[in-house]
Amino acid sequence: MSLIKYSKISVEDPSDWSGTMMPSVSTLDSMLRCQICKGFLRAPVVTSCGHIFCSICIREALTTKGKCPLCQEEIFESGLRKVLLLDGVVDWFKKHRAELFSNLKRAEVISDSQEESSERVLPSEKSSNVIDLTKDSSFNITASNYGKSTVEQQTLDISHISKQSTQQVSTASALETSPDADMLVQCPVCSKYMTIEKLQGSHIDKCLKGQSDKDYKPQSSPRKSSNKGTGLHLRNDFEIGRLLHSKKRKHENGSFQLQPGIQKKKQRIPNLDVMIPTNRLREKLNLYGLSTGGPRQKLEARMKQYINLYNANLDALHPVDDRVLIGRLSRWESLVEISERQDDKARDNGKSNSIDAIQNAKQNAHSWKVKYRSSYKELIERAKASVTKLSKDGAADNNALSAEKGGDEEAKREA
Amino acid sequence: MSLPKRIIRETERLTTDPVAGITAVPHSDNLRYFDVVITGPEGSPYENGKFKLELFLPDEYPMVAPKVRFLTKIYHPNIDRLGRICLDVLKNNWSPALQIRTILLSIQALLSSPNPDDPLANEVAEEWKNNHAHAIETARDWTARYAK
Repeated sequence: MSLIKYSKISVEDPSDWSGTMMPSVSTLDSMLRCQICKGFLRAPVVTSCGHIFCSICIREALTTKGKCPLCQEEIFESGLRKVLLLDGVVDWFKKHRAELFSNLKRAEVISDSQEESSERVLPSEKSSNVIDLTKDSSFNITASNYGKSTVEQQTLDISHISKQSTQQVSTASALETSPDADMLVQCPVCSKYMTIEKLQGSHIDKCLKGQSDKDYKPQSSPRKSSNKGTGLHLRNDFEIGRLLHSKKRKHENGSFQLQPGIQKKKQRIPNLDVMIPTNRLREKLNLYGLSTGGPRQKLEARMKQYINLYNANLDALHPVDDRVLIGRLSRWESLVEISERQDDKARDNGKSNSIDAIQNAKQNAHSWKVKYRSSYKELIERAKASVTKLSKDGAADNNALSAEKGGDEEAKREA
Repeated sequence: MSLPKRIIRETERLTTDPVAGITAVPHSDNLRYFDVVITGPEGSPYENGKFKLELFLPDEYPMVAPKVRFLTKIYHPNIDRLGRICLDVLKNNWSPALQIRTILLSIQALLSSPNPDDPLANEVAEEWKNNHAHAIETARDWTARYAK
């Protein structure tokens, strides 16, 4: 029953992209997922056989079985290495997924409309876009789609955009000559060049509202100078941008793969020695601020899971505080407990384990008590007469067992 | 937790993008329990049969394999009278990278190519090896009788 609520959560899936202008994004989408949990990679680590999983998932898997889930090669936890850059890539994708999705969806609607197709979108346009995207100019296309749809929303002149888009395609070759070309895209509104992050982040909105982006100096449009050395001009633009941005850019580039400094000082917790005496285990749990209650088996499971969570956290680009880990641990523990309790119930009631069934059972017990009051009395009498005989009757069926219970209570009241 | 989310994701995929010849529907009161129907593969003695199975995802899933059992009687060297299935990916070769979809596909493939050298139902396997034509006939007969 606790599981049913999950069905209301909408779960993103690589297949979502099949209905968009660019179904091939689904490949990227599924590549950025862990093959164990099928979610986006969290603190990805690479195994000695070259396969990548969430740190926590592969650690949990290795607790059960020391083989790679993908190739069945024998691997060891000690051989796992974090892949910080990939963590950043996944992070970017997760952040921009909804935006990318709605734009690719909307772009398709626009390209289907008549005015677009008469202006510039030929029947082959859609497929050529898909091919183009696999090439170097991928960012340009993405940006043009983005710009196009956003501008469309603002009901600006479409022919204006299409001119710019074609111009953009023509400058794309020039861009390729620049070493930094793949980092730059043109804003479809003000024709300035900038990084895709910058464009999609704040620039495009500002531009559409008519606010000039103060991070970039107003500059002559490359359209004017396109006849003489566009490449050079672009590079200059970029360098100006870089000069203006030097502080911020440095920070951004660095943080792609840098974990916070504290992280380096933290040591991994070694795997739990299963022979550890219970009192030492309690000390250990206490050391990390964990609960020391419960039987030995629970303590062990708790410690193991915390070690997995802790070590996996060290693999994350943006690790969380230990207190968050303790929160996750207690959530994990309550989940385990719920399922254990459900198992018990399932054993008692057969397949149905809903609250209703239990309440019905309670009511039934009550009505039984009322209905068979006289029988209970008789039973009590007999019980007093012969204990052995009662146990025989009681074993007859389950209801008789509950009848005994009710009878006992009445017997107490009578006494 | 990632665990239930993975199960939801798998369930959604199974319903939106079903595998040919396989349906898997979760119980409304227990999303870990699935009613499965596998259609007998073409060219096998199980052709045109509709085989009911039950599939259960233990709490440890995907770290341990799902539990799968045939509910429909079937004459097969790797499936015993209780419907238990002898299949490596359900036992030692389970990997958390596998999923419900792949497991059911493996079972479908097992119907296409029985393996009497690694039997679970010994008598069936003997018959399969020593009197192949008769075994196939029996399998076809059982399919017509029970797997409707």
